[in-house]
Parts: sequence; C-alpha cells; structure tokens
Amino acid sequence: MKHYLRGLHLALYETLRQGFKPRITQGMRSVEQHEERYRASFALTHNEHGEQACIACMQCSNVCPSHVIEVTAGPKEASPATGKKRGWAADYTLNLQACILCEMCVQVCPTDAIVMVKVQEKPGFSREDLVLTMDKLYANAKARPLAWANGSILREMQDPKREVKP
Amino acid sequence: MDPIFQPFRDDPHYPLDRYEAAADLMLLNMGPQHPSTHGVFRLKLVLDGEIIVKAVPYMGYLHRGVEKMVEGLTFAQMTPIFNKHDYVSPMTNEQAYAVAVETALGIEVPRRARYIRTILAEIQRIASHLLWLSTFTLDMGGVIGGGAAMMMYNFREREDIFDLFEAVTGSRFHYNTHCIGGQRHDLPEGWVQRVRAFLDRQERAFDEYLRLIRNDIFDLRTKGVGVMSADLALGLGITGPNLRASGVDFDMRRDAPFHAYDEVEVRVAVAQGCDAYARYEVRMAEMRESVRILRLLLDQLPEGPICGSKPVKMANAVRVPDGRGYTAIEGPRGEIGTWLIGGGEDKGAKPFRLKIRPPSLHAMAAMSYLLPGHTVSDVVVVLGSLDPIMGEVDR
Amino acid sequence: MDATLREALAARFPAVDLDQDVLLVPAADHYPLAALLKEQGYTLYVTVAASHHPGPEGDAFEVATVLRRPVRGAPSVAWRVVLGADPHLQSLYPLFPGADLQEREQLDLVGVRFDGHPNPVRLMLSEDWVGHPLRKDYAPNMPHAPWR
Repeated sequence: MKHYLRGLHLALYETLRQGFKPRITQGMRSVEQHEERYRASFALTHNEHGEQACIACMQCSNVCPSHVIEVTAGPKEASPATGKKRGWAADYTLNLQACILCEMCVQVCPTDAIVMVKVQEKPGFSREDLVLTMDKLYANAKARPLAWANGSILREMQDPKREVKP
Repeated sequence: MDPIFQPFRDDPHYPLDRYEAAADLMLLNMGPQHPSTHGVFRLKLVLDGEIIVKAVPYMGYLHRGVEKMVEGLTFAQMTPIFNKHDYVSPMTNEQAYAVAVETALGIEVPRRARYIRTILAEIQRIASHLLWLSTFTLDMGGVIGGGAAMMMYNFREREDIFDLFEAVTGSRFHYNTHCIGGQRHDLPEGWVQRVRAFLDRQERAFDEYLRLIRNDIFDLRTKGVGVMSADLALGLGITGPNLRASGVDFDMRRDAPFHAYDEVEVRVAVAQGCDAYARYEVRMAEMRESVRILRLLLDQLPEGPICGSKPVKMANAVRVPDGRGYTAIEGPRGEIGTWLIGGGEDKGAKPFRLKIRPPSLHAMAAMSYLLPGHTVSDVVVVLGSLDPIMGEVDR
Repeated sequence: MDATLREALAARFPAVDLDQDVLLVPAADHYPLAALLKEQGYTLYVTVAASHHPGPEGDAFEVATVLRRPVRGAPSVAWRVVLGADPHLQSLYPLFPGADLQEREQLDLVGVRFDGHPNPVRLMLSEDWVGHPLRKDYAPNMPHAPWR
C-alpha cells in the first residue's frame, strides 16, 4: 500500500511538473524538411545532349539484390549529338513492390542515368501503379527534386586516393 | 523460491512427471502474437496455479531464410540484406558483415572510415538501448504515468538519431552505408556539430528517464527476478549487456578492439546483481558511456579517404577465395558473429556458406532456465530484460 | 593460441595440426577437445555452424565450433569436423547448455544429427517440413528471383 501511495504522489508531481515545461510534441514532417540526402523513389535522366543517359549496360539489373530492374537493350546506334556508337535502352522497368531502396543501382551506374528522387511515390489502387515504367521514370526526373547522389558523386566520394580536405 | 522448482531451473528437460503428483498443472501458450513478446515468439508455459513449472520456447515464426538467400547473392549485394535481420540495430549488423569479408580478404580500412564506423555504431547502440528501455518499461508498466509515457520520451531521442543517420545515408532505417573496405557515404558538412548538440540533449534526457523510472514499483518488479549465474550465461553463450549483468567483465570493444575502439578508452559497465535490475543498470550505464565515447571520437575524427578498396562498379567485384573463418564484433545485444566459407558460385563472388551468430538466439535459450518458480507476470520482465529481437533470432 | 593451451592440446591430441586458424579435428576428438578447452577456461560457447559440401565422392559435411575465453584479448578456438554422407556428431549439450538450441538449428537447416542431444527436433521450420534447406541440393531448380 505504501508503495502505491508513494507512486501516486510521484506521478501527480511529475504530471504537474511536465505541465509547465515547453511543448515537446513533434508533428509529421513534410517533404521539404527531409535531410539533404533523403532518397525515396527513382528517376532516369538525360545527358547533357538531351539524349537518354542509359546505355543499357545492365549493371544496375545485375547488382540489384531483389532483382526488380529489367532493362531491354535496343540496337547499338550512333548518337545524333556526338556521332559515337553507343547502347540504347529500349525499355526500362523498375518494380517498386520489392525494391528495398538500397541505392546500389545508383552506385554502379557508369553514366549517372538512374538516380533517386526526394519525393515518394503516391499510394496507388493497383499493383501496376508501383511499377515504374520508362515513361514514369523520365517524368519523375522532370517533376521531382533529384536526390543528391548519382554514380559519379558516390564513386568519387569513395575513391581510396581521394585528396584530403585541408 | 521453493526448492521444488530448482531441478527445472537446472535442467529445462527435467521430466514433468517428477513434479508433485497431486498438482493440477495447466498449459498456457504465450504468443506467438502476444504484444510483449517483441515479435512473433511462442512460449509454452506449464503452470501450477500462477507459478511457472516449466517454460519451453518455440521460435521460427519470423524465419526468412537469410542464410540460404545470401548463398545466391554476390558480396556487393549482401549489405542491404544484412541490415534487415536485426531491425533495431541495422548499422552494427552491416558492420559485422563488412568486417567478416574484410578479414577474409585482408583489406585494410582507412582510419577515417574506422572512426565513422565507430561513431555510427555507438549512436546505434544508444538507439537500440532506448528502444529496449521503452519496450521494457511498456511491458512492465513500472513507470510513473504508465509504460507508454517512457516510450514517448525515448522515441523523441530516437527520432533525433534517425535524423542524424538520414543526414549521412539518406535513409532513416535501412542504411546500406557500408561497403567492403569502408564506407559508401562520407559525413556531410556540419554533421559533427549536430551530433554534439544531440549528445548534450541526450545527456539531459537520461536524468529525465531516471525521474520516471526511479520508484518502488520498478524496483519490486525487477530486483531478484530472472537471476542468471555467470556460469550459466557463459555456457549458454550469452554475450553483451546480459553477460556483463551477470558479473563477467568482458566486452569485445575493449578486449578485442575492432574499428577504432583501440584508440579510445572504453569503460565497461559491469553489475553483480545477475537479475533483471542488473541488466537494466548495465544498459543505462552503457548509454552514458556511449555518449562519453562519442565525444572522444568526434574530437579525434581524422580526415582522409573513406574506402580502402575500389568503389563498387560491378555486382561481382568482390571475390572471396575458398577458406573459412569466424569474425565477430560487439553489437548492442552482444557478439554478432559470422562464420564465412568462401569460394561459392561464380568463382567466389558468392559465399559458400555464411552463418550469422545472433546474440538474441543465445539469450532466448536462457528463458527456460530463468522462468521456473516465477509467476506469469514475471515472464514479460525476464523476456524484456534479455532484450531479444525476434528477427535476429529466426533470421 | 597461448603456450599452455598449445602444450595441453599437443599432449592430448598429437594428430591435430595446431598451426591452422581453424583446427581440423577427427570426429572422435570433437567432444574431448571441447571438454579440454572448457577446463582451460574457454567457457563462452560462441557458435556451431554446419555446412554441406557435395563432391564427386559423395556428400561431405563440416561442423565448425567456436569457443572463447572471456578475458582480455578475447582468445578464441575454432575447429571443424568433417563428416561423411550420414552426418552425426557427439552433442556438446552436457558441457554447454547453449548447444541445445544451436545444434537444433543446424539439425533443422543442414541435417546434421547430434548424438546425445536431449531434444533433437526442428527449431526454425515446422516439424513436418521435408528436407534441409541449407543443403546445396535442396530445391536446385527453385525460381530464385524476384522475391515478392
């Protein structure tokens, strides 16, 4: 009995004390408040000539731990801008249903084609809504803020011979 | 405690029919969906009235076959898998895997990367212990204002920790920030100052927690409950805070330093009580010690490269030759080890066998030794004080 | 490995090559070695890991055990036992109670039987499960990806 009375008193004291302290409740954060490096969904970018950056080298498809990326390579043709022969992706699908957002595809991309964006996909009404087709991925790159990283930024950061900052 | 329960405490396979013949025994299944079992875990209790005579743990409800799955993945693909089996301390699990492969290949990790790993591991230890504290007190209700009050306070600081991790890795929980040979992400500008500010807040928060916990109900429910002798703990393979609460002065961070722990002084918290209260004491002391270590590490943080091997550009870039070895690091729950046999498929790019040594599975084995003689209400106290994570138990 | 332990092991197990990182021990010496190590202070039961090695001469199994001394330096001893097509090995349960669940897990996933184990039933999978998943010949044509 003694313990419970003492506990009751302590509880009342603590409740009263907390009443006069500044509010510590935190609301749900909006997208703008996420950190600089926040990663949520994917996008495919164009290179500096306005062509698709993906050269269908299949590295992202190979490295994906959940095997959600499917790339169909088109015929190798010369680029209209530079005249050099390069690969083209005929189709590119990323299935977000099993994606674990591990950023490995971004890490290995040699042309910085696949990057991540800061805004999550909206919930959909069918499973197909979570399959990012090539069109959706290109639209993401235009409509949503891109995340900080791409393949060359990450690899430069991890370079063992990176110069030491002064 | 009644000496009639002693044989059941010494040997969990002691036959039930040697218990009092006149007793009216009842079988009670606790779980697999009990809210205080920290996941899906079933405990079969044989009760005499309200006293437990025998406790048999059943697990495997969360078995996802990680060890089979990684045999089909290359070493570069495996890090994101490894932060998922223990979903309360993903950072240290990634590190356990990275250290295992680096040891097998003899890759030297740059000094800055070792410091970053140590800093991230210590912050993760605070986050993990905070979650333990909130669930422990929630299960037990021994907190002023009820159990959920403590959880709200703990999660306030835990959110700060996730913000810090998000600033480094871009992800709040499943980070994938380690690679073989170092780190994938360097620390961003101003992060060190943010951690310092967090540590100051956290230190004040500890005193706040103590004001909520220090009361007679908490003491009555934890002291003398779940007494585990040092011999039993060692024989069961229990490591980490649970072992140190049984009076064994052993911590891999000090005794077999990995990462950058050899460059800072680690003071190991040991308690002699062997009971649930001692395990609480050790974890609270460890959180304060982590804050102290973090301040030292942030002062000494060197500049330099963060990865000792070439950046990952292909899935099968890392190949481990045929050979075998055991490596371990100290995680928040104890020794996270990996038994790695190299030389698997694709000329060694995939592991032949990779066994994860989960500290929680060893802790679960203690349940059947600790429970006989206690009442049903003590089950959640003993289970909570051992801090098991069922994802890690079942993998 | 310190000098006292080395002497004790060399005197008791002359056939074992003590220079290896992971000692290769005959199956008959498995239990005596663990008992000797426990006497020498290696009281922390760390882990047991079984693995399946299919070869041209038939199946082989390996069971590796690790023990540790809870002192400064954390010295550990790891040894492995190579078993034939019908794998069974002496259980370490009388020495280390932690072997109970660990050996049950290896029995479940790899299919190595442990003689003298008090409760040799499956741990992770249900009791009517057929086969041992961590064997290399388990479901070789299983569609592996994608997982969803």
